Amino acid sequence: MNYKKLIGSGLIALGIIFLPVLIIPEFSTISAVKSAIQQKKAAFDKKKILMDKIDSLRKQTKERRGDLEKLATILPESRETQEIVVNIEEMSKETGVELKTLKTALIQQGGTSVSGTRAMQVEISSSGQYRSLLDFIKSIEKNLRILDVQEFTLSSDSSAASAGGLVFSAKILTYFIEKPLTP
Amino acid sequence: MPEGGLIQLLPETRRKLEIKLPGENRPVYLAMGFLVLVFLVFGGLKIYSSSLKDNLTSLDQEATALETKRDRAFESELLVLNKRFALSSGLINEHIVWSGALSKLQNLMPKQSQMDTFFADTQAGKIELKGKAISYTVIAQQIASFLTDESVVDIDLNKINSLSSGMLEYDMKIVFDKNKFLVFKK
Repeated sequence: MNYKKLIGSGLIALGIIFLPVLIIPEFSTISAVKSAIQQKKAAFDKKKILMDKIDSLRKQTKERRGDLEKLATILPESRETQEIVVNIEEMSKETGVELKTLKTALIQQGGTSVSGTRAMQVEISSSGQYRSLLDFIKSIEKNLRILDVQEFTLSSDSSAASAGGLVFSAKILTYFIEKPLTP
Repeated sequence: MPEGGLIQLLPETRRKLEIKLPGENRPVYLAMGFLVLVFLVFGGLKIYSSSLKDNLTSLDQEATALETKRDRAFESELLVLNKRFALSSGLINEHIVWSGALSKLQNLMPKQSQMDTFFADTQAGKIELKGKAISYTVIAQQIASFLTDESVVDIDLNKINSLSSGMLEYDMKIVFDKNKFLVFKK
């Protein structure tokens, strides 16, 4: 009877030895794999959401290609001085303002509070009636390419030809991207 | 009694007595049961662990498949677009609108006052105004009227000259808050 008890005890001891040798390492493996699955699943879900978003953005960019091209006009990647000249001439013609002089100069440093952009100064001198000049200023403000009137003077036109006319001279800032944008 | 009258005290052959008691094998069975349980638990864990590893592998494969679907060129294009948006919106938020300010000042000017020269400086936040008025009262009314606008911070009246025509010539400086007066914000 004693040896049976002995065998019983031996088997239980064996079982107890197997617990740390077999079961506990398996538990650790399972918890490590579970945690890896959780992390990968979270990353996968995030990536999937982002890719869905990118797909939706792709559709939107296709639909709004025209608007995106306008964005390049608002802030071009180079000075595009020729566009400024054409725009100002068109605005003066449309509003009935006589454009007398137009000068441009690149601002050496700063000139803009938005980093990555550079400013160019456009100096104009023109004449016309008050209403026309006000319309001209409004056109400058509404121009697709940003034109910020920094300084201007409105004064009576002393020349005999324009009774009640005004002289308008202004310093305007326009902007462009300093270096080509990279992702 | 044995034959011949002899008494046999010990048996000639030794016999082992095997007495089976009920429940004597119970410790062995219990122990084996415990051992089997340990192996069953181990087996179950092994199967579960293997299925988890399979899940992990399939997740990796799905991630790799998703990665191959990426259009990196378009992603770069989007990043550039995002930067362009940020730069443009920064400039648009600070876009200067003078026409509104001019109309506002025109409405605030008394009719008996006439503007000759109007010089505006955005950076300095000032307007230098030279004009003519029919009386000192009109000039005072003009100053009071300009000050009713919340964007006008201060007014310096530099000088008033009386002209031979009987009109008064004035020179004043209007100091304004650029953010309220000029900046275009939706």
